[in-house]
Amino acid sequence: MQRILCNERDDWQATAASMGFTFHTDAGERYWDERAYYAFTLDEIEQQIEGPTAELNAMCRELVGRAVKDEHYLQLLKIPKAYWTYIAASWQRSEPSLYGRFDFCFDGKGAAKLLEYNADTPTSLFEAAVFQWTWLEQAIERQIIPKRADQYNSLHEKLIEAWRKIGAGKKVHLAAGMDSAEDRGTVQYLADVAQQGGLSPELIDITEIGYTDAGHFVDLKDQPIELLFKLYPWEWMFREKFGSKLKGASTRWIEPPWKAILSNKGILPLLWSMFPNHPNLLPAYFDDDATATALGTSYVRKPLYSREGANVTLVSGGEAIDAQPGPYGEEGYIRQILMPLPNFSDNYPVIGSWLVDETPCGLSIREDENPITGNTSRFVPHAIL
Amino acid sequence: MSDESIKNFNKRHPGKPVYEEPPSRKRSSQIALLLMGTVAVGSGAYALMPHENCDPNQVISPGQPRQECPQRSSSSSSGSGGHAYWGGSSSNNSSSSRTNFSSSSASSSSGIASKSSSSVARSGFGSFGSHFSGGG
Repeated sequence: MQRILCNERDDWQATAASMGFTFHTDAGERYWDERAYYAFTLDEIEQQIEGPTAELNAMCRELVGRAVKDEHYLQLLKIPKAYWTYIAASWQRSEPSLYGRFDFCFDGKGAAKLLEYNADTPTSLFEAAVFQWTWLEQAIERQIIPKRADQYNSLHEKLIEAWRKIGAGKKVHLAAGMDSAEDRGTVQYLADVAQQGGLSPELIDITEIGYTDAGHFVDLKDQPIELLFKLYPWEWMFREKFGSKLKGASTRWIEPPWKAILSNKGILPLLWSMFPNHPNLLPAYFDDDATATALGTSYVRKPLYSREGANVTLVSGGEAIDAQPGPYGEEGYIRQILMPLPNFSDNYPVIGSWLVDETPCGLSIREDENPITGNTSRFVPHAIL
Repeated sequence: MSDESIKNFNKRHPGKPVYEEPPSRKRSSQIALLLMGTVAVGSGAYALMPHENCDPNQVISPGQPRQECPQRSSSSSSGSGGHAYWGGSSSNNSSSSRTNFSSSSASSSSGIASKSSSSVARSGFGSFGSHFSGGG
């Protein structure tokens, strides 16, 4: 694994605009950054990323299978009791997952280590699936990178195929908070691949979902919503006004309710207890567990529910050396052993390893000058050399 | 190439067929977008949102009134104030070989969408999302 400086395409912003990639720059700061790329060997991709991703996914599914039968797990994850049977029923019906993303600490030398699993509402999808691929093609063509370069990326095709399996011929609504350019762009892209998979997509703001006296979730035409992709966390929905209506409604959700188990940082200590010393796991414990002292005085403290690094604290030698502000933490925290991200010329990359329809199929990288990856971290493309 | 070298070559690789390494399977084959893009963001995205069926870049024929964009609102219960999601996007309404969604999705974009009746409650989801992104 290397970080290689390279020339950026002089027209990349126009290319981004032509593809509807509107959030490549945020508040004047680059989000998409192609002044460098990360290079991997094929062996690194296959043996260190793709293989472990499949294995971790199987381990996560085993965890869900246990959790829906053992309320102790659900208590530890602070999932409201009112939703336990709802989640279990969704698992027992084998409701399909569209996608997810594991975040790894990986330096090309040791095993990739799972930092967290974005199981419910992963973003950075369009740039991983499409714009990163476009960069590869154009960078080869313009001799910015070697002609032999490849990329671990079949996200686009896999998404189309996954949608086809989920509901070809059906209408699908895609909901998000449309005020967020990134969230809006993500559901717009998912609508595109849904269309290519044979579905009829329609976007709706999450606030505009309606609920009728007859017990249906409806769109703005008051038509029942049969199939609904939501880029909106289950843990938020459970705590909102319509949460209590979920159980009685016929709407099928993507991601399915059982993903509420996996989008919780509490899976990190649970996986560690189920698979101790697994090479792709880091030691982790619930914050209020007496055994957490096994980590000593250096660890990362993460809220059970958190996104984009919010409320994450790095503790070294008992001292908080870095902390990100945020609104999370009410439900509790976990501790994970401090595993510093690799340092490539003062850039700290996190590897995103994507699954579509439970199949590993792509990679994305976010890097930052800060060891905690956050919502201002840059997206940097990758290639296989 | 001498006969000797041919002999040596054959000795070094007895019976091994000439083999060309297949291309990697890690690559995407081709990426096509139907809805996203300069044209699609304008016309396609509007078609995806029936309540916003009012492309501000609409082509007006002589004598045809411009269709005003209704503000985004909730009719039967409290909701957020009006603004267009896609208002800032570029669109020139020119035809595009890449974009065929507008016509194919006519069922969801014919006329102004009817607003919800009084028996429909809205804004039951989204209270967290008004402050934070739901993605991660």
